[in-house]
Amino acid sequence: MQKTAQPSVPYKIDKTLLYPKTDQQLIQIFLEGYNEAIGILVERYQRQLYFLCLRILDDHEDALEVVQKTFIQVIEKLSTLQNHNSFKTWLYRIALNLSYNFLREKQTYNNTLKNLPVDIPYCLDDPVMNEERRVQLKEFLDELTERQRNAILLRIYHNLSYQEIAEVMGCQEVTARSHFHLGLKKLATKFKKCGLTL
Amino acid sequence: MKCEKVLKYITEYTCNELPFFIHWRIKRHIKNCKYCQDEVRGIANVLDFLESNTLPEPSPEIWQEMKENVLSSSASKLCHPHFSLPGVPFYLRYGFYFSTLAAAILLVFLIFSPFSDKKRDSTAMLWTFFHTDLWDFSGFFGKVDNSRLAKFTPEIEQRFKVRLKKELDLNSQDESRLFPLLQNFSSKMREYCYSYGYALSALSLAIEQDKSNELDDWLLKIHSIREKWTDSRWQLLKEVRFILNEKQFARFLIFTERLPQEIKNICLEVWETKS
Repeated sequence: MQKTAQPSVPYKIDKTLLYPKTDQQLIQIFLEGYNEAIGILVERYQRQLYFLCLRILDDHEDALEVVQKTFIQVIEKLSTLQNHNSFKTWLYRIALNLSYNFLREKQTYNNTLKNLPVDIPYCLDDPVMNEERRVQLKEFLDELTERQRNAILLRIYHNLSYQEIAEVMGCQEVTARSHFHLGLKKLATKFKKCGLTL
Repeated sequence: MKCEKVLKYITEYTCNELPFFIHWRIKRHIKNCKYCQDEVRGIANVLDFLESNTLPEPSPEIWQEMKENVLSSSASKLCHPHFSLPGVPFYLRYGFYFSTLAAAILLVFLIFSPFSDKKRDSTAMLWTFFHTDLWDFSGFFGKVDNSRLAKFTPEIEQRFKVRLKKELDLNSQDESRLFPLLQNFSSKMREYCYSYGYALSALSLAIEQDKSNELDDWLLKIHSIREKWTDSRWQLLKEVRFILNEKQFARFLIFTERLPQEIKNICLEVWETKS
């Protein structure tokens, strides 16, 4: 009788079972030792996080670096996450914190950050017009407080509810709502001053 | 409504976030107020500006690259044992390792102790000492009359359900999800036990009759049954983990540890009452 090699792992999870899973189930599977689950979570959120970081950092390479750091931190700390339902907001919070830390570090060494050329791979539509607008918006957003800016970015570009924004920012839902509306009002005033219309 | 109050809620109004009645009152005011109309237009302008401000999409290869980078940079953190079960106490999570270690120590003691029978094949003993629960089950099922067992199976299952329900404090929804799994598992378990018992008897016979050429075959068969048994146990645990909460799962683990004894007790109870 032919001897078969003994498998090193006593139990293997069927890969096909992984795909329709929710975040919570994927976390569970990852914690049980199946590493592919984290790959699926990365695939699911990397794009959203990239755009969030890009809005804050305004640099393609920096945004990629911060997203990568975010996921590495997530892998390190995932076992400490108590409530798996709040994974998405936890992920956003880590990304925001890392982005601002990165920005602060960079500003410390380079005060002329605003004058740095923007490194963007390629643009859709009208690149010149889009670029002008983007720079203008960045200037306006930079004048808001960090919390107002976060609330606006998360609400407008990531469709997060006020409850989720509050979880990301670690505050009450009412506070998150008021940050968003105050930010909008400030922006409207700036637009008015500059005589800017669409 | 005065302009002052309208301006206080102007962004909420533009974002359609106000209760119907307030929204309607502001709308009525704005209809006749040029100043507030301009303010609303200003906010709408900002929202349009923000929404139309799209960022350029990076090249699609970046995503795959990033995934690979993340997985390779954290490779050292990703290598945890495939046995680990979250939300379960340490001593239970590593129970398998401890029990294996204990069995190994006992085995070494038995082999090298002055009481050991030097003539017997030590490799064969190794297989019988591991997975004592399977051994226990197979010994038990081997002694039971099949027709008798089949006759009383519904009664045994019913009693088993009552005990487990009480032990885990299950609600009816969890119960309806858990019991089909257990039923499926129990049919597999019986099959493995019979095969295991048969293979062990054959192995003992081969040892007694000194048929060394048959030993390897029977050992491999026993090994393959054990592999399947372990697989189905882990499959069951994984499926059960999604049904039960942490506390219930921990209790379930403890319950499964004394499963052979529980089932034996239940069977004996049933036979006593029925006869």
